[in-house]
Amino acid sequence: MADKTLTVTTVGGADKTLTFNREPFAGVRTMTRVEAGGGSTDISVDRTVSGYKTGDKAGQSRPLLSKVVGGAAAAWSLRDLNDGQGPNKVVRVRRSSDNKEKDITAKELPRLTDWVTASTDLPLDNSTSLIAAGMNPTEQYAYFNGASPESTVSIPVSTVSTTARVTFKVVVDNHAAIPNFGALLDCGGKSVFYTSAGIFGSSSPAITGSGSELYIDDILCPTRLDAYNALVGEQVHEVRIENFVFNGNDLKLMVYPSWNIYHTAGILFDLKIDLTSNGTIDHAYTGVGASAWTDTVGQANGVLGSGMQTIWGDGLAVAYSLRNLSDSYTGPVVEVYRGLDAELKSFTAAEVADGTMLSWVTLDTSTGNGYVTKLYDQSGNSNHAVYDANVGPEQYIVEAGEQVLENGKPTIKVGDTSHNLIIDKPIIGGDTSTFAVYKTTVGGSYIYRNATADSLPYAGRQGNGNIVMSHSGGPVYGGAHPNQQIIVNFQTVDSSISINTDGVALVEQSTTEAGGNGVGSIANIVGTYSEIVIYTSNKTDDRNTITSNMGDYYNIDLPAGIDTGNNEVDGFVSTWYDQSGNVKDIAQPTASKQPKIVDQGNLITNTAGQFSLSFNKDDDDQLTVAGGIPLSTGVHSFVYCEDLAGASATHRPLLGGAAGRGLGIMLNGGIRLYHGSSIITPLPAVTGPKLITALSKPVGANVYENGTLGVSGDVGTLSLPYKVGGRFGWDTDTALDLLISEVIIFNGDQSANREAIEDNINNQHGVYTPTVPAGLVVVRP
Amino acid sequence: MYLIYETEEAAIERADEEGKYHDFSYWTDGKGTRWLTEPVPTADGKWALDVLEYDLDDVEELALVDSYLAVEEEGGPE
Repeated sequence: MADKTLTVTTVGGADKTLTFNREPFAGVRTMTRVEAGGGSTDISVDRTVSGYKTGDKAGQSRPLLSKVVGGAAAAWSLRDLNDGQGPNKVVRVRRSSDNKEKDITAKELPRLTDWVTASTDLPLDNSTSLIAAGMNPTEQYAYFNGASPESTVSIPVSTVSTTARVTFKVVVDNHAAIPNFGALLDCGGKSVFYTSAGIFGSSSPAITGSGSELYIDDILCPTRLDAYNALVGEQVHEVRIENFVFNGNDLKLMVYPSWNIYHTAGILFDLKIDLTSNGTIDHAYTGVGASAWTDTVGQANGVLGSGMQTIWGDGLAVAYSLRNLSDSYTGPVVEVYRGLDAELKSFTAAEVADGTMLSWVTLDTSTGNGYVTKLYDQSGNSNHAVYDANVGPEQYIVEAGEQVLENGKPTIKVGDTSHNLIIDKPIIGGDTSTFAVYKTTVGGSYIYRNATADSLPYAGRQGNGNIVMSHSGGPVYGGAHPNQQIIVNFQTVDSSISINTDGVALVEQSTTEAGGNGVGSIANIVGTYSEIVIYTSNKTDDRNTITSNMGDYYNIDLPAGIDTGNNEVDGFVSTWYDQSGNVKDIAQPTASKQPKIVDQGNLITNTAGQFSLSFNKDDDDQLTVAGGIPLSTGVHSFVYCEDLAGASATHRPLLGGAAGRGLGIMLNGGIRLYHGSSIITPLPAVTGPKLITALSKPVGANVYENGTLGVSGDVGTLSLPYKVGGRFGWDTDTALDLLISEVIIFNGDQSANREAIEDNINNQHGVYTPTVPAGLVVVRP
Repeated sequence: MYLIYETEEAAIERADEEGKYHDFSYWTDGKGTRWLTEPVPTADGKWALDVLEYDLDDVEELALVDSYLAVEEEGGPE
């Protein structure tokens, strides 16, 4: 933000110009007065002093480490403790809906729930594409629309002048359909080409490996590296380039145009860079149909040009819906028969949603019926479902002049099971996973059912009222069929049938009848249906993602952990980043022991409204740091926390060391510091959020609570603190729920700076009424 | 419900398998969450893995135990 100047003209005097530093987060603000006769005077306002409180949760008005007392051994907080104006990452968060993780800065934290509760991070970065969502996140496909120029991802690693290992993996689905495809891995004009005819380089290489794995000793290779020619079906090829030298150039992955590629081919790019060939991936890019590639390992971002688009998920057989199931789909979704004059017309999803279709059916009146004569298959397989000419079209999309809706969304209403839609070829064989959004209260209603004597395969609501699936033998039941609109997943995989509704498993049962062939009819129901997607593959891994997508769109409530649209997703901290500069991040690689930061869509705060991490005692939630925090003659710890009532706890560990050493809160509220001997603060203790300051040293230790000395004495030999939260091992029933917002550890006695540090923490969080030094003017916004 | 392994390596291998199944960040991004649950040492020198929420095969189902003898940690206040 630019400085502001103000010129003041005084009566009979010279002009004076005041320049105001408008830096919003500066710890110390300055104003400069320019004297008329030359020279200037600076006037400073120190916002780090005691008594100033703004409620700035990013903490940049008073960056503790950079403006008050630096030199911490470790510092974990949900605010920015340095003068970075909030951009420093403070935590890494895993969301429960899809286990994706993201580094969060102090400035981003207040809006963390936007990401945690957002629609799951679809593999193709496509928030509306169900088909993309159904794809395995590790197998992301993208393809190039020939109408656009080449796409390039630039990977800014040129400053690294070391020998690297670059792995470039390409997965091509049905390569024959992309005859002119080419990808170029380029570094300063020295390149490796990956084309439909093989892999080429720009000079003579030393090649090792064979088949789908080639190892190139350097990138100077013009000779064709003939790995393959006939490419039909999915192909996986990996080129590993050893001794890669960047020579001051950026590495670029370019994708060349191809022609007429629609829905039949996919390409995965998986690019990994090991800068020092030590086996650790420093940068990793996965090519997807997104507008940008994000380096998932390093912090740099590459940029992918326009033109990359999504294509269909693997094993997709049919996809019917009145909405677009992929951003790349622009075709019609439904063909409608107008009852008023027997006209036919096809409509896009947008035209169904915006009233265009309704207007056409009713001829801009309030009467008339619109019947579905065709549902267009969005899978790219052209398995369109059409009405049975023998019985006529009677699936309503408009009834009596009104569009048929279910829960506010366009849907299709069927009043008679004889008016199902027909697919003219079998679409099921072997593993099958069907997702559907529908509602029926009538037995004998099926999402699909074959037009054979035994009706096999079928899935839906049987005449006995149970939800059922059967493919080539006896049926498998999942209990009573719900009567409300549901999202259902019928799946048969490896001789086992499973049925899930609204993200909840109803039954999974081994059966000899898995598989089955052919589906002749769909939507053989009495009720409404909005979407039917059938995969001929195992979608167990993607079930929650697909269900979440459908629930989000159709406003169907789902359980916590799956539901995104209803904001019931949890967020957990896998890493609490150290802001001291000593890289003492505390982490928890085990999901079941990670503290929570978002609870069912809400950021966790303590009773004072401050952002906090919640450590659950039953789960033994804890964060640990490898090697512990170094110590010399003493450790001075500052912890802002709140202990929640526990029934049987005797200690609540805040900072833990070996053999139960550490700092904890007792059941009666006393604070115990123990390193072989204990000192315990007297009662009554402060309830609610509190700032605990503990000086750990063999002789002369002390504990302050909210700036007041609680106890002092000797505690014995120190041990390295290495964990926050968790249990003391010698008493497994001692941990309890804790809320911790900030932990700052100094290696050594900081008694001289204790008040300044406590004031800063107190000012930030408003823990207790501060003591204002005499003569200080307190400014409160 | 637990599975008991003779070695830590074997227990980690099973925990890794489950972690990959859940697409945890460690397996996709190289950092962050690795396991759903982690192996813990038992008093008899083996390793226990809490598999209550794991997707188990038939052999594992037969090997399940309800509990294990935990290692007692030394130390602590009087």
